[in-house]
Formats: sequence, structure tokens, C-alpha cells
Amino acid sequence: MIEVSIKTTRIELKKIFLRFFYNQAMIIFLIVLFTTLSIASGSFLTIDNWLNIIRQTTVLGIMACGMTVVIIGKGVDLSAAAILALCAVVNVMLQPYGYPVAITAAILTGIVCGLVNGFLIGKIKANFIIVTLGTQILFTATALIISGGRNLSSRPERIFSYVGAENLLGLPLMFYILALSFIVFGIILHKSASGRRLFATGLNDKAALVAGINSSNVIMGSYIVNGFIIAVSSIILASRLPRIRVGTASEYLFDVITVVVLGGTALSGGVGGIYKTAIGLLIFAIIRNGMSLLAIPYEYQQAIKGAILILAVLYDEFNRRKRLLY
Amino acid sequence: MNKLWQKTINFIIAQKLLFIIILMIMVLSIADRSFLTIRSILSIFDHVIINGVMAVGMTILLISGSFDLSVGGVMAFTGVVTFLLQPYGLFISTLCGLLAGTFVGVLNGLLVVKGRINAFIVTLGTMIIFRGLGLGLSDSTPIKGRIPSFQLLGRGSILGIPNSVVILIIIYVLGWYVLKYTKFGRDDYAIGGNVLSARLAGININLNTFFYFVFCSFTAALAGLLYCSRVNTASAIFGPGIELYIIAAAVLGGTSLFGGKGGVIGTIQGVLILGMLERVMVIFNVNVNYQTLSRGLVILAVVVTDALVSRRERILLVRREV
Repeated sequence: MIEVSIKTTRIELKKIFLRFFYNQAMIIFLIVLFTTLSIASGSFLTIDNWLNIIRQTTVLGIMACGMTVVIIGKGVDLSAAAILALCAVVNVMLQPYGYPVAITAAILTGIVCGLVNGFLIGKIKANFIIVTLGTQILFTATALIISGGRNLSSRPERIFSYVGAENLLGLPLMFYILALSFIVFGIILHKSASGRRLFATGLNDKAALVAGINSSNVIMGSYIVNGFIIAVSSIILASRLPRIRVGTASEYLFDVITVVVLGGTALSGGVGGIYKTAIGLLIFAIIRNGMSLLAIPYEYQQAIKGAILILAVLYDEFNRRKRLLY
Repeated sequence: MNKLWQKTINFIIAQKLLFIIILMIMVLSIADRSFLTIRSILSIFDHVIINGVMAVGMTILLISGSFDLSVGGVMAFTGVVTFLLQPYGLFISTLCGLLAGTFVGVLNGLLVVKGRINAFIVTLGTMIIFRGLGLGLSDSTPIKGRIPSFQLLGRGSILGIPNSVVILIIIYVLGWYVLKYTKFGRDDYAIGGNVLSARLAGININLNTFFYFVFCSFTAALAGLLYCSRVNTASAIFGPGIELYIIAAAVLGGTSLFGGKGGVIGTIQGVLILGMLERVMVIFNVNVNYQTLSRGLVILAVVVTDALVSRRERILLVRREV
């Protein structure tokens, strides 16, 4: 009898261990990555490097919050980088009329862009990939037309550069904005009724409809929130970089999707969370930083990022199958 | 009389793309006196050739309910590989380029079928990977071609018809025949229409989907060869955003993004319309940014129409069942 119970305990323990391993694999991966890089490169564990990492990933992190919302609602926003560019251009162009006007206009632009996406996808039910690819072209072209394709230099106004450059309690001010947006999105997604509606819609929109959720409104809302948060990150982008060019924003698109997927938010919708995106952001930031420290050429960095994206999704899929077994 | 009227209306609705094309040709020939000659008609075909060739593979893939965002990357990668290997001879370099491009399709197909990953994320990933690899292999600089006879592929002509147009016609006839008269093609519609019933009908869905991906990349690789042989240069940044353009052309031609509907005859019409639209804008001297803007608007209009039409059809279907 005791023999049996020990045996079962052992099996139970094994199960618990495996479940832990599969659930927390990303954190384990993070620790391994961290240790390897600390050994491989002497400059990785310096404070300067970490401040640098924070500065480089704030815009990406804030955008990732919005993208998480969209992906949980079973969509993807491929126009994210274009919205970022358009908002930044609007912001910088309107700065002569004062800072409040510029910020308000940028945020309104973001919301309108999100509304266009949300209306076409949520209400008309067009394919989200093609719609957002189409609006990507549309918004980029609009940004190019407004800016005339020139480099725009940001006005060196005091408050404006403050967001991008100043430190507070030893950390860049941007970091607090990033943390705040993660907390706010975490509360909205995981603790509010609208968050639950979003998860339900992403999991099965027909069932959500039957349960009394207006799923097309929920999806529309997710794109609007995304547009809004991209506008917020565009303000930081514009205050960080002295010059804004429409082309500079384009690489954010792929990175932001990679961050969200790396964290484990599933593209099939309804699964994921803000804390996962935070882990994904950390892993992505460390990998990107590590590749720069190890002096890998930029072109191959792109290829490696693509491989990371595919491996992350592949892992996620196997993980799901394994979790069904245990 | 009434019946005849009805028939004419139906015919016009069914062949609306053809009428749009005729209308555009008329506009073009009024705007540009030298337009309405056989030469310039051929030159339109010549202009759309790259998109046209890629659109065949994309149409077949779209019909099965899947799609591929990596075609632009495949096209550029093929060119880079081919031109890098040209010191080893014309035949080897061309073959290796074509194989390298098709290999991306094998990778896509395996990841989608065996890895069960979303086609969107797989092809987005491979797009970035192979653009990056192409950039790395070519050191981010365009490569000049070394073999003059390679240019014959894109620039030469048979009996006054450009080679590229001949290839275009061959590949469309092939695509049309396969879709209409072979099991492989009919299965495509079955899978796109309803995966579950296709499986119950005994269709090997995994194998078929795999081959659709491979074929799509093959056409993209072929287009890459044509493009590079025409400009005698290869660069890893060729064809940015071309994947969307091709999907839009196929959807404009009546292929549904929801799968199960469409064909290559519609696709070539869609390709021609988009190609002529660009021609019109060039003739009327429209600013490049506004050209891009209108391209985005056209794509959105096409997608929205597709969504509205398929919703109406679904409603009609439900009514008929009731």
C-alpha cells in the first residue's frame, strides 16, 4: 500500500514538475539567456547597458500592450507601424501651434486610425490581415503626403524633450510610462468586465454573441484602444528622436508582433495576457541587445528575429499539445 | 424582350471586370494617342508580368483558404541566390535560384501542415528571414548580372511576342487546366469550401496544402528570375509590399479570401486592371505618394466588397436552407 502511494506521489511530482516546466518555460528561457549573455559579454551587466535597453524598448513595450489586446481578440494589426509614423508626423507638424494641440491631435489621429481598422474588421467583417495591410499602405501614404517625405525635426521645447531624456529616481521617465501602461492594461484585461468580454470574443465569437456580448463592438473597441496606445507611444518616439522620418517606424511592426507572440499570447485568440507580453518584451529586448553586443550584422539580426518568431509559435503549439497530455 | 434584357444585365454583371478593362483601355487610348497599338497592349502584359506570374500560385493558395505573405521575400531571395551563383554557369545558377525559392515554400508548407502554425505568422516570419538572408548574402548591395544570355529570359522575344508574355500565357493555361480538369485542382475548391467535409470525402488535406504552398513559392521564384533577368540586377529589397498587391489582384478577380471560390481567369483580369490603373496614374502624372494612397484605397475597397458579397451569399444560403 505504501509502495503504491509512494509511486503515485512520484508520478504526481513528475506531473507537477512537467506542468511547471511547460507553463514557465519562457521564464526559464529568460534566466538561461540572461546567464549566457552575462558570461559571453562583459558589458551586458552594466547599468548603462540596462538604461540603454529600457530607452530602446519603451516605445515597443507600450505598443505591445495594444497589440496584445488586438491579438487576444483574434486579430492582428499590421498597420501598427504606419499608425505610429502618422501620429508622430502629425505631432511634430503641429508643434508650432503649441504642445497641447500637437499631443491632442496625435492622439485623435491614433483613435481615428483605430476606428477605421475596427469598423472594417468588426462591423463589415472583412479579413483583418488584408484590411490592416491595406490601411498600412493608406496611413503610410498619408504620413508621406503630410510630411512631404522630408525628415521632420522635433522642436526642442522643454516639456517635450523632458519625456524622452529626463531621469526620475535614477530611471528614465519613459520607464514609468511603460510600467504604468502595463499596469493599466493588466487591470483592464484581467480584472474588468470588458476584458472578460474580449477574452470570450477571441475564444469563440459566435458563443460570445449567443452569451449576449456584442462581439463586433468588442473587436472594434480593441482596435480603437490599440490606435490610442500607439498614439501615446508615438509621442514618446517623437520626443526621443530628434528627427522623424516615416521610414524609421516601419521596423516596429515586426518587432511588436514578435514580442507579443514570444510571450505566449496565441494568434488563435482568447489566450494570453499582459504579464506574458512583459516577459516577451524582456526576452526580446535582451536578445536584441545581445545581438548588438556580439556584433552580429544588422541583416542577419533581421533573419534571426524572423526565426525567433517562428520558433516561438512552434514552441507554443507543442506546448499546448503537451499540456493536453499532462 | 424582357428576358433578353435580363440576360444582358446578367452577362454584364458576370463579366464586369472585362468591361472595366475595356473602359480603361478606351480612357488610356484617348489620353495617350500612341496607346492603342498591339505593341503597347503587349507592353501592358509585359508590365504586369511579374505580378501576373506570382498571382497564379497565390490564387491557388487563396482558393484553399490559406495565403502567403512571403512571396516578395521569395522573389528577392531567388534573384540574389541566382546572381551570386552565376560564376558557376547559367544552368546551375538558374536551377539553384529556382530551387532556393521553392525551398521556402517547402518550409512554409511543413510549418503550416506539420507544425500546425497559423499560415499568416509562418509566412510573415519566413518573409523576414529570407529578406534578411538575402540582404546578408548580398552585403545589402545590388548584384550585377554576369551572364548576358540570362537576360534573354526577360528581354528576348519569340515571333515578336516577348518571352515573358509567352511564359505568362503558359502558366495561366496550366493553372486554368489544373484547377478545372484535375483532381488536384478540384480538391483545392473542396478544401477551401469546407475543410471538414473535404476530409470526410477522403482528400489528403495536409499533402494538398503542402503542395499549394510549394507551388505558390515556385511561381514567386519564377517571377523573381524574370524580374532579375529583365533588370539584370538582383537586390534583396526588390518588391516591397508586392504580396499585398498580388492578393488584391486575385481578390479583385473574384477569388474569395474565405476560400473555395475563384479562378485564374479572374486573377489575370484583376492583375491587368491594377496594372493599367498604375499606367493611368503615370500618364496623368499623379504624385507617387498619391499613387500609393490610391493603391491602398483600391485594396480596401476590394476587401470590403469581398466581405459584403460573401456575407450576402451566406444569408442567401441560410434562407434557401430554411
